[in-house]
Amino acid sequence: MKKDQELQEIIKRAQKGDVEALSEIYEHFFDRIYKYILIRVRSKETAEDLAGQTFLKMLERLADFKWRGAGFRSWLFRIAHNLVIDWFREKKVACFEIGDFKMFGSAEDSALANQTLNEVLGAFASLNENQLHVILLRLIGGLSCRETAQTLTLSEANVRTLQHRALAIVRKELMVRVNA
Amino acid sequence: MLNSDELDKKLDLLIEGESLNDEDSALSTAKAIVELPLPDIESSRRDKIKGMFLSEAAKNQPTPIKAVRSWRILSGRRIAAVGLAIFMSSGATVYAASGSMPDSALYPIKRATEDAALFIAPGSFKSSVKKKLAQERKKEHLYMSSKKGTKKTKTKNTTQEPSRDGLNAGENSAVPEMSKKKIERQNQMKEPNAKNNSAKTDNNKSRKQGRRPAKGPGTSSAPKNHPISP
Repeated sequence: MKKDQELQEIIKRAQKGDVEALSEIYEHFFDRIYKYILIRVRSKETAEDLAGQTFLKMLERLADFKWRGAGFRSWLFRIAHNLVIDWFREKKVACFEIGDFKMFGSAEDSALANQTLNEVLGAFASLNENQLHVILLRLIGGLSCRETAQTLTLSEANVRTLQHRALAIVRKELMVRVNA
Repeated sequence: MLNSDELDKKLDLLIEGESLNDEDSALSTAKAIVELPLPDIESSRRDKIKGMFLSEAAKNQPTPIKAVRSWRILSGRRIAAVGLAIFMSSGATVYAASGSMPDSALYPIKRATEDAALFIAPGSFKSSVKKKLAQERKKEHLYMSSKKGTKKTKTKNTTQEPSRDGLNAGENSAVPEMSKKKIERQNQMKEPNAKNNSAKTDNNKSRKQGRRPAKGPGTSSAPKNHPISP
């Protein structure tokens, strides 16, 4: 993960139209944005599409971005988060509901990986919306507590409590699934 | 069991990639989530999205920035030049207007400058500025009244001139050459009659006075041996 100062310089260059800096931003954030969206929407094609849209939106609004508080990471994830919410709104499905899971489409994919993934994501079903968002932004997106709080417009203390409870719930659910 | 603050700090370390040998249940669950075997995007798809993103960036961003820069440089020079021209011309105009009179086109500029001077002048100097302005108004009044006088005389002259011209048409240099000749001929034709007339009047006068009429050019033509002649 790039440090804030380093990232700030890249952002400044990108705001001046430096394509190389934009490429660096893409390389640094794309995979995490993609995986965060993938877990939320559970479709590779949709995740690719929304991740691409996230970066295009970022490009549109980058000139207006000012480094305040949690900074660029929370700003970028907020774009992705809002795009996912809009997508769920169009589909008329609650964004924390778990539907059919088709991440590993091909037969070559590991059966074990599929199983683990399905178990963890199954355990997520017992989380409420805020708990799920906090866990995904914090552990998949790699945001700090402060950045997560800023993205979801919550207090840092609230985020700490939510993540603590959420991990306890997931742990309990996983234990139930393993024992079953 | 870690409390929420302790767990938060440990999670930060976990996210940064540090290996934690903690046996806390919440932390081990978090570790399982962080290491979740999520499928990576295909490299071709990833590159395609990147290509689209960067082409969009190249299309939208660098050109306006360059354009703005060049425009700024040009405008800076242009603005400086135009500003200098305005400054110089306004200075020259104000200078020229300072001596103008009410009949001049620059007079409003002069008045505006005076108003500005009066407005800018500090309280103690206002009276002296007003005095100056009053003198200026007086000068203008005198100038205008003198000008009116000259105008009146000029108009009188212009009304008299045509009659004089009419009388001495022959003297007027503006009269064309042909008309001059005509007038001369007319004068020549008139001259003998005029002389005869004057002689007649002289004879009449002398008759009334009992004297012999003077011999005029007409009388000289009479034969000397005429029976009637003495």
